[in-house]
This record gives sequence, C-alpha cells and structure tokens, in this order.
Amino acid sequence: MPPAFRASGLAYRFEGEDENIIAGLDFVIEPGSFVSIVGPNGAGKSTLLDIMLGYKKGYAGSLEFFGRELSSLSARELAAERAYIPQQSEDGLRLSAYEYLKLSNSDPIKTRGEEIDEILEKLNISYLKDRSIASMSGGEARLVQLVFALLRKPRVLLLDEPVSYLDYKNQQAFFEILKKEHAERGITVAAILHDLNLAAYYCGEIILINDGRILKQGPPLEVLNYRTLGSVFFGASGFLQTRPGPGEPRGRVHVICGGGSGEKIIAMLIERNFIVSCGVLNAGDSDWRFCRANSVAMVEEEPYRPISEENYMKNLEYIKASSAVIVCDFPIGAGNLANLKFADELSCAGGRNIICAGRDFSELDYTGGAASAYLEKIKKNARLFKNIAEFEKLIDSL
Amino acid sequence: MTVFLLGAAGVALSFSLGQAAIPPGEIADFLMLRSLADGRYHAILKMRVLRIAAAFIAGAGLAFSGVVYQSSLKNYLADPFMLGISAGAALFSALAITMKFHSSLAISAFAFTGAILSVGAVMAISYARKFSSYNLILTGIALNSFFSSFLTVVMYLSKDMQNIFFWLMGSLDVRYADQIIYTHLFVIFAACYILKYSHILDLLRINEKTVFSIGVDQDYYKIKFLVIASLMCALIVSQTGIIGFIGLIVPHAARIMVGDSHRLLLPFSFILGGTMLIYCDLISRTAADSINFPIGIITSLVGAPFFIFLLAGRRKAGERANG
Repeated sequence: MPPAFRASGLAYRFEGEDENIIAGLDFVIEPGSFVSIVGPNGAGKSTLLDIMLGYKKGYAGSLEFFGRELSSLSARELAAERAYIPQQSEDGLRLSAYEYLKLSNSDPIKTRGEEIDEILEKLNISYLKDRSIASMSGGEARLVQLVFALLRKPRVLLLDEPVSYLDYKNQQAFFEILKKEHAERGITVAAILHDLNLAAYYCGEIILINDGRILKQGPPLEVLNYRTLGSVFFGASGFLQTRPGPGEPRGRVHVICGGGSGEKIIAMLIERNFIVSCGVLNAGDSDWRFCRANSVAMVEEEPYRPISEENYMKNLEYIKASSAVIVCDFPIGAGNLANLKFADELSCAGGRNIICAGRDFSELDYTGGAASAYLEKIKKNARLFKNIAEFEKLIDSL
Repeated sequence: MTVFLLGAAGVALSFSLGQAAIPPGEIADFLMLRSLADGRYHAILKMRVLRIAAAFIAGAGLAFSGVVYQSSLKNYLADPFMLGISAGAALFSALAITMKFHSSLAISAFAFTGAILSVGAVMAISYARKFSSYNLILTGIALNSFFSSFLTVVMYLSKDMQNIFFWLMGSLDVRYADQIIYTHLFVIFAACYILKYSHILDLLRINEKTVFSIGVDQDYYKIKFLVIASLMCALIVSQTGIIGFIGLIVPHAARIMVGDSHRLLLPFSFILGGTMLIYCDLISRTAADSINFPIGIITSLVGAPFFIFLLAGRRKAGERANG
C-alpha cells in the first residue's frame, strides 16, 4: 500500500510574504501509524497540518496522499478518506450532541441514528447524547468532537492540538480512546501535540519541526532527547528523559548546579553511564525537577530555604564518594552559598577531578564577593569548560 | 405551542381592535364568508385582513432572513439590513418620492431595486477580494454608511422630507391585495427552500475547517442563502418600509427558546416574528386614539424590553447550570 502521506520538498509560503513558513519537508507517514508533530510555536506545525488537510492549497513540492497528489483531489474525495479535529472546541453551540453528530454526514438522511448510539455506547458516553454542547465540560465536548470524526470512518485522522485545553485526566481519556480506535480500525493518526510526554507515550513516531524544517523524525526515544530538544525548546525543562547508554557503568560524579544550569550536563553524564548525584537543590528548582524525572540521587532542601548544616554535610558525603565534582554556572546567593563551601575541604578532595564552568561568575554572584572567593579557589584546582562541547571532551577523558 | 396560541389570539385581537372596535360575532361571520348583518364592518374588516397578513409575512420574513443572515455570516450581531438592504431601499424610495412618483407600486419598485443593487454591490465587492464573512460585513458597513449619507443629502434637498421620513419609519398600510399575495407566495416558497437545507445552516455554525473536512463547499451555500434571504427581505422592505429590530431580536429570542438547530429554529423564528409584528401593529393602532404610530418605532419599543427580559432569564439559567 502506498504511504498515507509522502512529502518531498514540500514548501508553503503565505500570500504576500517573502519567507517560506514551510521550507522543503521530506517525510513519509505509513498507513496505520500513529504520528505526532511537535515543535515550538511558529514552527509551521499547523500550516503543515492544514496542507495535509487540503485546506491550504498552493503548496510547492509534492505531497502524496495514498499515492495521489493531494492537490489533485477534490474536497469530496478527500472527505471520504480523512477526518479532522480542529484546535478549537465548539464553544457555546446550542446543539445537542446527537444533533451535532448527525451533521458528521453532510447528507443527514444517510446518518443512521443507531450508528451514533452504538459508538456513544461503546465509548461509555451515552449520557451526553441529549446534552447541549454548550453545557458540556471541555473534556466532554472534545470527546464528542472525536466521535464526530470517527463517524466519518476515516482512513486518516488529523488532529490539531486536540488536548491542549484539557486537564490531565481528560487528556488521558481522550488518548486512550484514540489509541483504541487506532488499533481496532487501523486508522492512521497524525496529531500536533504540545505535551511531549503524551507524544512520547502514545505515538510510535514523532516528527520534530523547527523553523519550517524537519529536525528529526523517528521513534520517541530517538527524537525526544536533550540534544534535539535542547536546541529547539530553549530553556524548556523537566521533561527530558534520558537513558543510560549501552555498556558498563562508569564512575560516580557529583554535580553542583541550580536553576536549570545542570540539565544538559546531567543528561550527558547519564547517557555516558556515569552514576550521577546532585545537590544541594531546593525543591521545585528546574534542576530539581529534572533530577526527579530522571531518578538522579540528590540532596534536597525545602523550597526557598537556605541550605541547612545537615544537608551541607550530606552533600559533602556525596562529593567525597564521587570520583569527580562538576560545578555548573548557576546564580549563587546567601541561600545556596554552602554549595561552594566544599572548596574549604579541598585538601580532603585532593586527587579528585574537579570540572568547573569557565565563565566569569561575577554577574552570578549575589553574595557580595563571598561566592567569587570560593570559586577562585575551586577554579585553581579545576579543569574549565566554556561550553557544552568542551565539557563533552572533558568527561570523555575522565 | 404557546407561541401558536399567542399568534392566534393576536390575530383575533387585531381583527376586533382598532380605531373602530368590532364585536367578535361579526368577525366570525366575516371569516365564515357569511353575508354580514352589518355592512359597515365589511370594509374595515377587509382592510384589517390585509393588514394582519402584511404584518405576519413581514415579521416572519424578516425574522427568518435574520436567522439565515446570522448563521451564514457567522455573526450573531448580523441582521437582514447588515449588507445594505435597508440603506439601498431607503435611498431609492427617497429618490422616487422626490421625483414625484406617488403610486405606492412605483415606490416599492424603486425600493426593491435599491435594496437589490446595494446588497448585490456588497457581495460583488467582497467576492472580488477574498470572500469571507468578515469582508462581507465590513463592506456592508461601509456601503450602509455611504448610502445613509446620500439619503441625508436627498432628504435635505427634497421638498418631501416628511413623506420620505414616513416611509423610512415603516408602515403596514398595504392597499393592494395582489402585492400581499405575491409577497406571501415568494416568502413562503423561499423559506421552505431554505428549510430544506437546515442542516447546512447548522454546519455553517460549527468550525470552518471541520466543515471543510467533510467536503461541504461553505462559500457556495453562504452565497446561496444570503441571496435568497436578501431577495426575501428586499421584497418585504419594498412593501413596508424599514421595520427594524425584528430581524435581530426575534432570531436571538428564538435561539434562547429552542436552541441552535435550524430545523426547529427557522420555522419557530418565522412564526415568532410574524406573531410579534402582529402585536406590534396592534399596539401601534390602539395605543393612542386617532394616531397610528409608525410600526418601526413600536418594534423597538416593545422588542427591546422583551429581549432584555429574555437575556436576564438566560443569565439566571446559565448561573444555575454553572453552579
């Protein structure tokens, strides 16, 4: 069977603008696959979906839909094959779910009432049948839109951020149904998603788009890692999932960081099979969230509290047990100054590798010089790195 | 159901009340086509039949086309006069009056031409650019205000200012039975035709891309519906002058009462609009002795409080639903 979609050199430009919003995409979506399109706002995701829908015409390059050029197909031919769920819900629509669902067939006489009953029954939402859409919760209204699309019996289902406005429970409910229908009917699903965890969990394949180009297409673990995402979602944190690479565990490493300065470094260490610990971090800090998400051992302090003596000692234990200490470039105030006090213990840290960010810390020093003094001491004994590439070289030599 | 009963009561009251009150027995006789005991009433009753028929079809047609306009333009503030029908009709009838055409048929013909020309111009202009509800409405607003200014100029220069003014306020004094019969035929036929497509009107209300995805050509239907509703409306306006408010308020009231499903909403608005105008006419004839208030004033005077009452009720219902 030809692929559901095959794009080669697909490009699109808004009327009157100089730059392409979509700039030469090549991808294949196989029939029966469950694909999500991810990327930052303005990357061109919705435009791409509109082109795939046939709504935006006049693209350059080629886009085949089951082997036929999409632009050569009529609205009716397309309608027989694919269904669509828009980003917006049907706000304030005073039609009952049943009346609304009847519209799914443009010829209402052909819509059989039993068919609607059946699918509502199957999805356990028969109670919505006579309720007005306007009176439904966001989650319920979304499910009704999903039923609308399913009633079209599509081979392909396109969804534009279907769950962006839903709470966690309703997101799950929506995707569980979608997944089930996908599996049972073999519908090809292509959805724009903002929640990368959902994308990773439900989709077999992810297309990562940035600036109108495909950065990467493949299974979630290949696409959703710090390397690809870090460059796209600047400063995004807490969702990067990293796995140790193949091979034997290497040594223990302790990372001193905060405010997101440690994410990439820790991810890189995990991938290289180091056993990583981290601290002291205030609970809620973005590095703290990242460590928790990746089960990194850490010394935690209550949110917004200065580091206690007890936690300082704990952290020192970790440092002593590690073969290397890494100091990232993070802002230092009175509260977390204790993180640098290990410099006083350098005698006992002798022989240990110390790797420190090489930047000028004066703009990150909110202690009136105390932090800088510690850093002087640390840097004297440390190997310095200016960027992540240099850091990579340093740890490969460990 | 209640509206039906109200409508019937309105018709009965309209028959009997007016500058000369007529006893119910005489009306029954008249309706049964029995010869009348008292010949005096015959002429008055004949006049009132025409009047009631005119009020009903004008109200019904305006309300019906109001619904069609709102749904086709995807704008709940739309009314049948949004795309220039009233302004065009007003300007052309003013011209006719100024040019000393005295027969009401001639003025009607002028008004109809003006209405069709202006709504046609609005559609053509916005179709030449990108056809969208947004473009249509903006073009309509521009043309409306252009025609209104033109009208002011004509009125300022004309010696028949009072006549023009009177026409603008709307009137249900219809002299010719033929006119009313043809208007009825056309309006009812057009309404039935659109009713056949009520599910498409439902579709126009929902997400545009969703509708596209099921293969319905929305622009085609939008144009078709707007053209039919405009013809309907132009015909009514050309006979009665400009009766405001019905085409905006009745559709909203009907939506509140029966919901957005056009299969119900369209006929309901039709009947509600007709009924409402019969009542407004009744008030305009009976409120003060020996004066017929212009119907356009009464629709606003009666319609606005009625609508505010409905809105207040809905807010309470909304609070209950949310709470």
